[in-house]
Amino acid sequence: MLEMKSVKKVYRSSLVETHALRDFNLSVDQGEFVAVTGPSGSGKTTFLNIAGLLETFEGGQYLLDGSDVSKLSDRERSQIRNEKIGFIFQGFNLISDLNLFDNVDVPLRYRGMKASERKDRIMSSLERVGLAARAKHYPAQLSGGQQQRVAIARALAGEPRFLLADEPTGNLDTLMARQVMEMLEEINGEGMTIVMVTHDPDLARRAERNIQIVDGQVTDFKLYQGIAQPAQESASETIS
Amino acid sequence: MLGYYIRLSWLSLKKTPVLSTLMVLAVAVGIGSCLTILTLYGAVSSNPMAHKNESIAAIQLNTWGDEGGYYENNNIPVSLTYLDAKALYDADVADQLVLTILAGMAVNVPGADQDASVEESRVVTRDFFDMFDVPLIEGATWSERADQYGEPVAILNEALAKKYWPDSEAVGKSMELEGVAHTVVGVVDEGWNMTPSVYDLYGEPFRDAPQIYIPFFQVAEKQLPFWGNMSGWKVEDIRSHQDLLDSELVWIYAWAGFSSEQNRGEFEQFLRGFIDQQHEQGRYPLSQDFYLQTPEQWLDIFEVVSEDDKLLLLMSFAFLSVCLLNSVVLLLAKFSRHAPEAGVRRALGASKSSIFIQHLSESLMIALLGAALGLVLSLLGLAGVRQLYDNYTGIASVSTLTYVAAIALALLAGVLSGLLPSFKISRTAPALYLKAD
Repeated sequence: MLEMKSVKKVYRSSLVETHALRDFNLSVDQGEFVAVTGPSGSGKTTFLNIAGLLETFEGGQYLLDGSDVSKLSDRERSQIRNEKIGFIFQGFNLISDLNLFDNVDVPLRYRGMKASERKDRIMSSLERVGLAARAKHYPAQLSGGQQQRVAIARALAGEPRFLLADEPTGNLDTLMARQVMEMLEEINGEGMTIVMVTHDPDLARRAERNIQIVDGQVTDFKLYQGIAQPAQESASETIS
Repeated sequence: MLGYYIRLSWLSLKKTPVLSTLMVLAVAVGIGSCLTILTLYGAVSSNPMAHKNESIAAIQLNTWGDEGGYYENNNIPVSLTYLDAKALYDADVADQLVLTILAGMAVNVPGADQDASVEESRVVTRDFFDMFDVPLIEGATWSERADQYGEPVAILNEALAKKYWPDSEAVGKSMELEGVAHTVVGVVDEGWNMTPSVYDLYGEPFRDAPQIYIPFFQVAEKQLPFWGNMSGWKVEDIRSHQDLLDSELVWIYAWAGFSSEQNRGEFEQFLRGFIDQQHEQGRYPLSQDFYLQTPEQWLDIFEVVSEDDKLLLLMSFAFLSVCLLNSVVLLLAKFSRHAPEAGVRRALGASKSSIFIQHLSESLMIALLGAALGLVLSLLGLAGVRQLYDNYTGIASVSTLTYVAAIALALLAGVLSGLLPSFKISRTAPALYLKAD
């Protein structure tokens, strides 16, 4: 479903060139829960930005559902982000001036849906995360965990092909982190593909597959058949 | 989506009330001053006789004998001698011929409650009403005979008619003008006031509407007083009214109206012949020119729109530009704080153009609010002008131009001030703002 072949990303300044991703190869299948780990500066965020079509790249190929999305216009990339990708951020990134209903409404607005359909989807998503009763509340009136659940509802409302989660529990205490993680696992259990960037090895172990990025390349591959299974060196399956 | 953008714009404005107020004020002051000047300029520069530009003409005959030339306007006398005016009238060649001067009439209605007063009046031939589209709401213009013989008839402005006969029609009533009994034959709609007064632009082109109209030949031949300007080029011993009528003094404004090119040609031919004849008799010593000026040319000749007016208009736009520049700076500051939200929206599927339009909508909303406030400021400004300058009473008022200009300036201001800030925010790299810290 998501496939990157020899992707290369370089950040240039007047003094230095930084190779954020080099010969980066990765394939994620439909319904997988993949955790991406790696040290700071390794290229995790760059990978996530490219996977989410938030950044362009210099070389290689990126296929989404078999279609090459490497050379699309801004409008086309925006449309794919809107229709196929759901984002969950560490800092939630809810819009503080909008209530929960309107926050979840944001991606649907850019899809040009009818008001009645938007309303159904919004309420259904908020119910899915247990916050339908608080649709008229504002983000500041919620706890961190609740805000992240709203962000998940926003990501789900558009019925995307996959979720990209960037440290989704990074700003949460242990209890809330556990609740959010359980929710992601539940969503994945319903067939949603999830790619999650995390520093936390415990969280990574809860994913089906663990990708480690070092110096802009996938260096390690660990497959878990459940929670907290030991790592296995079997990168050859996905690294070309 | 437009409704969504309007809602977002309103939320954004409410979030920063001080900054929003400052921006609205900046735009309001700029648009308000611009609207005030534009309204005045629009009135000053309009040609109320544009629809007859090709069918009526002011007549200029170059009777001047001073080699130094006529000293004003286009260096040709702008008014005619009585000798020439009467000759044109008697020839009856042009389909319409208007002779007109300004006069002041002492008015008295025996038995009326009101005191006698002096009213600004216009002395005209009967074609004046048709040529200059003067709307009569009662009665009709006087007869040809009354015109030719200067019979004591009058047409009143509705305001004056109401003053003396508030409860009945004025037509058929009698009133004394300069002590002579006149019969009222018509009443002009009090809403009518041609600005600029194309028919007579000398001195004050933005005068109030005349209160009384009387036949031209009354003043000329019955020695009623007149207020118009009089110019001459040679020393003449004028001791009587008849001396004035026989003199080379110019004081009568003349207009000809043509229903066809053929009639215009006939009139021009007549003028050539008449001037040649007069030249042979010793008049028209230097030049035998004549000119038929369109209303537009007439307005130019009298410089109704002065260079100062044009400069003032330019300055008002320059001031608006400065206000808009302030608004641009404030918008840049405001929108820079929107970058994280724009980043989130981009991630969630907003294209660059969506972000651009969203922010341009906010800029347009500020401009529309500014224009609405500017319109109020403009109303106050125009009221101030009316208060300060009596001669601007007729033109310093809100017109259709004011409203159209307010909308146009709002759109212009919104787009101009919002273009750069909206463009910049639409280029926000979303990835920069999505990390937690």
